[in-house]
Amino acid sequence: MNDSSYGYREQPIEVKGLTRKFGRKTALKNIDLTVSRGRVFGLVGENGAGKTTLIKHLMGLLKAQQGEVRVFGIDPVKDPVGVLSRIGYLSEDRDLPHWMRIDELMNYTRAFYPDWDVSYAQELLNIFRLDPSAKVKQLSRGQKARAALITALAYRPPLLLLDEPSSGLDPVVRRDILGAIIRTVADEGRTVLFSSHLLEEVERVADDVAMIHEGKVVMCASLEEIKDSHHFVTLRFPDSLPEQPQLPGALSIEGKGQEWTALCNSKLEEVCERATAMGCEVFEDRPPTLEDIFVARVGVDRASLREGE
Amino acid sequence: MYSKVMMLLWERWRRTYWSVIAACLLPISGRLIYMAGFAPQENAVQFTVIFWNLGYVLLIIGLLVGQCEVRYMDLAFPNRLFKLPVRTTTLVTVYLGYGVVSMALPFLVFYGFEKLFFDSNSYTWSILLVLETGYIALQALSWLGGPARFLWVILSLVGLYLVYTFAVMFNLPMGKNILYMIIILLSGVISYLNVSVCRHGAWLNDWKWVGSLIDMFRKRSSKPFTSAMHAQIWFELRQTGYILPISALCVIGAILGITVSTMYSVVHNDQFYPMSPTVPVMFYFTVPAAAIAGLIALAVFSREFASGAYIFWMRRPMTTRTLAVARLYATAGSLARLLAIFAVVILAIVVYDCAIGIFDFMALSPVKWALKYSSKPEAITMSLLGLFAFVVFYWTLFRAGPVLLIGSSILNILMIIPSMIWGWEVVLSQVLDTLIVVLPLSILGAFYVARRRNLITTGTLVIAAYAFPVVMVSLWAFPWWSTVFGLPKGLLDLNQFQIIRIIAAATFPFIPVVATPLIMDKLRHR
Repeated sequence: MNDSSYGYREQPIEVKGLTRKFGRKTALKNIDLTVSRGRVFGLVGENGAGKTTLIKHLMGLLKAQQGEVRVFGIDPVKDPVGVLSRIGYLSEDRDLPHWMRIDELMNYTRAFYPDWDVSYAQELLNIFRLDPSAKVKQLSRGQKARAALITALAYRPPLLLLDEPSSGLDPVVRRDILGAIIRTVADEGRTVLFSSHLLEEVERVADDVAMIHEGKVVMCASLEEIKDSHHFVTLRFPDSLPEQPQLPGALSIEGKGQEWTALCNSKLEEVCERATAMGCEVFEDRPPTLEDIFVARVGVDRASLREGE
Repeated sequence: MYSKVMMLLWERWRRTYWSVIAACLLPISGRLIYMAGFAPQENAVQFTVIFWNLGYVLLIIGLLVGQCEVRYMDLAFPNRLFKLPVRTTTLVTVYLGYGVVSMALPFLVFYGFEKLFFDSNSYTWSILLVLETGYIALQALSWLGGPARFLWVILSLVGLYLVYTFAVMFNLPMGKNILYMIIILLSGVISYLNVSVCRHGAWLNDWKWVGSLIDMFRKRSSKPFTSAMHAQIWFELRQTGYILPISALCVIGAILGITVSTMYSVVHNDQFYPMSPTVPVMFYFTVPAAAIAGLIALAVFSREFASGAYIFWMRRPMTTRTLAVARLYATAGSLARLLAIFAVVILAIVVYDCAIGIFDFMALSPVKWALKYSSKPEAITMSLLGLFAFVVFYWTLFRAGPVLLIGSSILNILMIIPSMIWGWEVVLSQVLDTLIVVLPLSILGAFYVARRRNLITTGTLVIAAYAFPVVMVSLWAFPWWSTVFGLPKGLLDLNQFQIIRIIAAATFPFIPVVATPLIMDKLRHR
């Protein structure tokens, strides 16, 4: 893709105040999101959280009912050519026409992208061991994902949108292919946004993470910041406590008696100070996984929703 | 705890109850409407029969496609049932048994109603046998899997023919009822075999060569495309371009079948039965074309939905205007194939006509019929309507999705029923009068919106809208019409109102051209 073309100075993705409703159900609520150039951005959330809806807005397949969506500074609905020619997209459903053969799919897709790299496409075909004469409907789910991935990568788009890319791939292929591709694309200065509910996978490759829960962004920051700002601490009290202790920024607290484990979104010093004040010691402090943080965040959000009711 | 059979029956009922209830209530409703005096008394039988047929059409549709999720309507046996710990015999028996009872239910309800209130027993049991045979045969056909589908049909027909020949050779009594019983038995066996084979998935690879054979006739893209537009036209053609010619072949087959089977009732003492002149035009082109193309389109769309490929085109880096133009080009391509089929059929009919002289009754003479029994202006208007209706259905409704297709089918039914009751002339006259006002205004409105959204240019509108009718008319109806009847003379007789009617009818081709980009835009950016 010619980087000198318009939109180069703009951020790859900018979403402001995006709200989307389907009938009575609000799928996205006032979403604000910015994805910087050259970053791998992980979009995490439960099934039905709104990840695919957000990606469809970026593609222009859904029109923003409220708010603004810009991809390289362009409105995807007003200028679909400007946006779609810069995006490589892998859909969750691998929605390829089942009647097409792999070679036909390559020829067809190639016609839309002047920067299509024939040798790169061939190389990927060889790596993925796909038979060019095979029909899409004859492919397994994993093979379909690979075929779709080739069509999304072969023109080296400046922005890659991957909607649940690991779905349908076996663990070995998932680890090798996904890691290599996302890292390569990001290293070359291109941007990747991918959605997943497999948090371990996101943790392995993402630079930035946004957590979506019931259509809202509950957290958005770099992975480093997120992990630095959360602490998994185990507290040991001299006597058993009848109820759970109050800690600053606590997202979840579990335990009973003398030993309690808490996930806190606060500085470690603040937690330690509070522990000292309560007469207990911080027995263990370990960095939480993204999954720990997500589960705790969603739990807090659910609790606040219940309180709201 | 309920038994497996009970749960299977309950599930079947939950998916099809609407059609069973509709089939039971429709004939009675028809009878009640007639009794209440809403319909002309002389059309009593016709009126009840229409409602009766409508009920059974709904029931059969419900039984055939109601076995799967509505979103993925498919005629195949539902795969999800194969995961249940139930024998294949049980599955087939429950499904067929439920269908047989459902088919009998409306008959028994109406029979009882007639017997109770009118002491009438005009509906004989042989009708029920015909209905059951038809249903079981259709159900067996619907469960045929893979490319072997058509081979099974051929095998069944050959089998039936052999049975018949055998009976004739040995002077065996071969009444209709025995034939029906044979068909039921044969269909039952075929159903069981197919479902059994589908369950174990052993069939598809064995018949792979049939698929390969079909693929030889399809256009493959082995070389890179010269442009994105070229690629998109190829895609559109390959995706749905074959459906129109195939459905046209089906329509022609149906027309020939109907014409041949009704030929003797139409002709009486070398005179035409005074049939309404507009019936052949409307019937031959609009109704079967819409119904068949609609059914095929539903099947295609359900497959596209199931594969997710329905939204594939939306992601192409092209403007919606360009995508719409590609779609219109592709449609023109499939129309060219359609014309080729028409040409071959005309040639075949002419050759056949030389042998037995039935040209006047064949599919391509509706214009002649219309002219013979009606005024020239009405004939011109009806011919235009008839000619363009096919394309309109194809371009707009067919491409816009199943919801619009179902809507159009309901509209069709709503138009047919009053037409059958009050006569085609009355209803069509009303339709024409409405069209005069609604059609040009709607097109103007749609064009304004499309233009505002930069989805269409005036050039595209004019060229595309008139490309088809010019080709169609010049290739087929027009030369024949002008040579036989002399067009200038006919046109001179028109009054102002008739000219307006013709103009309204002539705006038909604008509908798809204006609607295509609008619908595509709506689908693309919901």
